[in-house]
Amino acid sequence: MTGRSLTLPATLVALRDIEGWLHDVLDAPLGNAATWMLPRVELAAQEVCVNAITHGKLTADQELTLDAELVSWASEPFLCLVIGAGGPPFDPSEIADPDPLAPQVHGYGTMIVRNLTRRFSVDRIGDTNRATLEFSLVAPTRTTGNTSVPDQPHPVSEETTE
Amino acid sequence: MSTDPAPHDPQDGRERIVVRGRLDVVSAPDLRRDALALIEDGQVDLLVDLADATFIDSAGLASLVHAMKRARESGGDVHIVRPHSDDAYYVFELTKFDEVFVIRQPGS
Repeated sequence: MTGRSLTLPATLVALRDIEGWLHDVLDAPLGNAATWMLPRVELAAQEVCVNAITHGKLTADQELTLDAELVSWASEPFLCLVIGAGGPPFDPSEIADPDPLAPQVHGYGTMIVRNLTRRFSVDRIGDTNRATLEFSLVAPTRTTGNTSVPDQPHPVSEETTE
Repeated sequence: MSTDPAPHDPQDGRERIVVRGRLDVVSAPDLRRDALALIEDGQVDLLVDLADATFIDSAGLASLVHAMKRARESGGDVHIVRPHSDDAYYVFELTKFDEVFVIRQPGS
């Protein structure tokens, strides 16, 4: 295993350091997979950290910690990212995905993280939430480059969830 | 994020907002402010050009959805120019907003 850590002040601007850190830590170990994986890892990390800061009402004198490990001893190697933050307890399993037929303004962060990871869980350790995000090293299949013009745009609600 | 004034889209006369770089939780309020100001000013048909956006998170997406909702309430709509970057566009696919917005290819 290889592992590296990052500590950030709990501010939204500081989260922009995550991208460079991920490249520093993971470009070499991931090899070709870094090209498609790192933007997804960054997006998932961003969503978890933003939720921690905003919903946890964290302040700049508090810290976020990020630890990345490439777990290669398992039968299916994976990337493990652990994010630690203060704030009240948070259980993502209690957060339902927004209804795709009723698009809303907010509430997509947890859904995005779930869709980007093979496992997403949060443990409470003392007064800290410890989010564990596992990323498969197998490239997903997807469609790209399509022009999307809906026949009838969906209505958008103001409903907000985590 | 940086935005450029590019007053009217030549294709359909929509008011255009050009976004470059990161559309994230830090920069999203700027886009929301600019879009809502145009809508309040009566420009209810907007085109947000994301061709040169490099990263979009859920907060960036929320700013677009909020503007779209406000525009539709006012009888208009917000159309999107797709990012060149598949990674930046991925958040639309993950959230199914690629089926909600009218999305154009860059350069179209």
